Amino acid sequence: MRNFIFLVVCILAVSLSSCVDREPLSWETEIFLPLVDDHIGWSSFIPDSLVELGEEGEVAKLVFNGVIDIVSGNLVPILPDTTIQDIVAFGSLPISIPVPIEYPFIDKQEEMMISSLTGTEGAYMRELVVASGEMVFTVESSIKGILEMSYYLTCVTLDGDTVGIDLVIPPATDTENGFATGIVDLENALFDLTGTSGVGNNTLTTSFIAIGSEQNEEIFYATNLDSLWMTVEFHDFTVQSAKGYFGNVIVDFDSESPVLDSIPVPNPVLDIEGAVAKLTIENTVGADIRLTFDTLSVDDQNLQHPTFFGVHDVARAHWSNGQLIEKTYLEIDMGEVGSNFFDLIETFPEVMRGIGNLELNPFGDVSLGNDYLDVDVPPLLNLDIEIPIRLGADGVILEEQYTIDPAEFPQFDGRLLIDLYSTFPVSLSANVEYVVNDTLGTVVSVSSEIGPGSTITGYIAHAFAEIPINRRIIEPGGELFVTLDVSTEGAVPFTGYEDVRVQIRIEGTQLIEE
Amino acid sequence: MKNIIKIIGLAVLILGSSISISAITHEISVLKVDSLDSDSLKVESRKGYASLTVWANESSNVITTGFARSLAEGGFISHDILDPVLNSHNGEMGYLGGSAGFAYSWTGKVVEGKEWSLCGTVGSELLVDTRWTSDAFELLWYGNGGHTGRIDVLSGTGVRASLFNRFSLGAHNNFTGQRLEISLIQRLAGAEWSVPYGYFWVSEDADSLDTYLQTEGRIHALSDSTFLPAYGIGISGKVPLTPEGSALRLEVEFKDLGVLFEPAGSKVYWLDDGIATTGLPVLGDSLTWENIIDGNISTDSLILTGNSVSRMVLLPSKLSLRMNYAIEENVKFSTSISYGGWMPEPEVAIGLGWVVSDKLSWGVKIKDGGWGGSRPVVWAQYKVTEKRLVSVTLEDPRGLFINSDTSDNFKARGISIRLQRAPD
Repeated sequence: MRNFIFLVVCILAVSLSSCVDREPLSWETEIFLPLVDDHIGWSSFIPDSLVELGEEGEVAKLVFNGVIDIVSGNLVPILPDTTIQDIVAFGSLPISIPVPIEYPFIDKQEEMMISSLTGTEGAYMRELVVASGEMVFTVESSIKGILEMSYYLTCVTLDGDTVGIDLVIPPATDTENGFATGIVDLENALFDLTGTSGVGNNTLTTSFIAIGSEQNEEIFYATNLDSLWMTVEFHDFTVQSAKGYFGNVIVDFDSESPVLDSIPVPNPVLDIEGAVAKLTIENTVGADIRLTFDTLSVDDQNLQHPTFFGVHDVARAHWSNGQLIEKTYLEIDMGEVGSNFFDLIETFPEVMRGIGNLELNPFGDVSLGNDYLDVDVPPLLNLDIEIPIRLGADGVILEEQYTIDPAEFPQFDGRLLIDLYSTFPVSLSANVEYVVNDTLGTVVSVSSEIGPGSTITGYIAHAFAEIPINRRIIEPGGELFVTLDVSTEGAVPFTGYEDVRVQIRIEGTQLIEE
Repeated sequence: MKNIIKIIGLAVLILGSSISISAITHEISVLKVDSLDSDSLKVESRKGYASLTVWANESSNVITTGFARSLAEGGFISHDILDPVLNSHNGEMGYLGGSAGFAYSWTGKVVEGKEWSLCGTVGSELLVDTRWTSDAFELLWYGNGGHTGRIDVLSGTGVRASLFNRFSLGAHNNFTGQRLEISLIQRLAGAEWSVPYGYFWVSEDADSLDTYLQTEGRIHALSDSTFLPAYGIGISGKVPLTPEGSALRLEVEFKDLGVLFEPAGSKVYWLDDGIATTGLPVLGDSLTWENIIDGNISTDSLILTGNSVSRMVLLPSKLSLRMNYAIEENVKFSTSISYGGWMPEPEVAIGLGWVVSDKLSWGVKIKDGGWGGSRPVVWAQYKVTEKRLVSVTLEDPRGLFINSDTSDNFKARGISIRLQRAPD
């Protein structure tokens, strides 16, 4: 047994000793993997929304649709905040009388005129839908009994129900009056302002009822010293839609709109032949409008145009029962003879600025109170430009950057294989630069020329380059810049389908170590 | 790895030696009881059969001793070392596995005229099973550069290892030699990892990549790394089928036919994801090749982890059929086939044995299958006393010279020592 244990100890010692001075395990593997596969086309530097691709070899178009805001102010009169106070005093009572609980002791139906519509003189409303607003009804009573009171706007409906507030006013004590208040939200409420006759305007109809509450356990009395103080407040009204006569309103506008600033073409030359530009005034208001431009400038250069700066009247839109049946339009050809508009946009301007005013009802109340407006459907001024992409450029047309993260490539020895496939109909000069994240900022670069390709014939021009790399270059990671330089002689037509495919693969061997 | 296997083997040997001591003690006590019984009661009885087996074996169909030694010694593994191993795959799966352990098997006192005796087995076994596709081997050791355009199949790759303890009780037929035992089996510790489905493909020009990996790993331990034993029940036994008066002997042996009730709590790691790309970006800015290679990506979204629920799994059951035929008085032909016990292939053996003298017999076999390929087996049996025998079986003895160039080209090795005491 002793010998056996000795043998085991010896074997164990030999086994353990074999672990000492062991070299780390290592082996070499070959890798060949795709790293980057990217298509750089027009969409890389022109938003898709601005390009209309050319079908069957046709020239692509730059399409711009800009909206100039011409409704910076309110076209419809605004309902003012209003407070109505009513005091009912019982001083004329010769004796104290019991307050009835079987029938109202106050029952008033009233019409109130809205006399202070903000906006222009002569405007009146027949129907309103308010987007927001509220009514607050407050009652203070000195009667020593419980009262029930109702205040209703009988001309206002919300989801088909008449809008109003019912209050129960507690009895007054020797030291305090009875007090109650209620609020009703008038969002989306429909105001019929035609009054009880149905042909009026700016008229609110109301109903006020007061009665003794059945909750009273004893008979109570109103004396000649008692009174009721009632307050009705309307505030924070905003109009959603309105019908009536909005008056002769003039709203100034001064607004800017980006044009083609998102197209970073170096030294661009744009062949404007076949280009179309039009300004469309789209009237969505059920009232006549008159548009007058004082200035239209493109990158601070003023437009010269034979007809643009005149008066442009646009007839009313057709509304029926709150539905827009038909808009009305007026188009102005911005490129007509005598206009310098295309000269202004030839160099890809950034901003267009329009100054002028919009006049509502220039001919007065010709609709006899049937103007209609919905604030969600404002009138628009659209600038539509279509320019066939016949473009010349001289310089770097695109640049893409790819990040190569730091990674362990032990003893790596290999190369980056770069393939460029182009269907651009011009020769490109490609430059691939790899900036290493080391302390020296080592730069490894390679250039290559790509001949013209064609989307029409399907010919793809190809260029290949490789960058030798080793562990020192690849391990710290870095930034890979791919730039394409193009120089054209004059404007060249493009279909919009042109692109350059950048494909980068890594190939080499690395040493895996335990 | 090799050293770990060595240490485990040694531990098993040490454990085995201690068990053998207890076995001897048991035998002595049986002898005392027998003598008392025979003296006082005059009942005819005799001692039963007992054996103690200690074994350790390992085999592979592709991994040579030289390759394993190179891995153990460390240093640069060149293609000169790898190429023979890769070529020996022949495009098929590679296997490496084996077992080490001990088993003490006994039969109680045989009473004259009684047909059945109590019997039992106590033992412990470490099982290791590793398998991989040749594509996985090539991807790991060679990279993908040399075979772009080919789909690397990873499905079927996996490894599992467990330590089983067994305690069995049963009945032994004193006339026919049939033996049937019911076993309580404990899996003391274990771990497993497998790739049920996976592939890796890079196009010939490396301009696109498509890969998918569905893999699951389980560590049968609690989160504080303490053991999470699982218990199961199985039946084991053997049935001799010997025609009367025939020189042919048949024996069917089955081991651990049953299930293991695995408790909840094993740590489970699960990944089921694929990537198809022609280059950056793969899935946004964060998922780049560099990040994938470097392991910098947040694996939370890819690798799911958790604790297992309780489940029932099959025990590493094993079924064997053995046949012996006495060609002459001193020459025997033997063959056997075994399947199960986590072996990926059936293991077949065929050989001859010679009786040299009353005390010594020996034989040779050719074994094929299991985890390994064809390999020779040599055995010898020596009768120490009239009742006691010692058997030694060496599986591919050339592979035992682990630290020698002699064994470099061999893929299997194993040793089994059995001490037997025949019944009176």
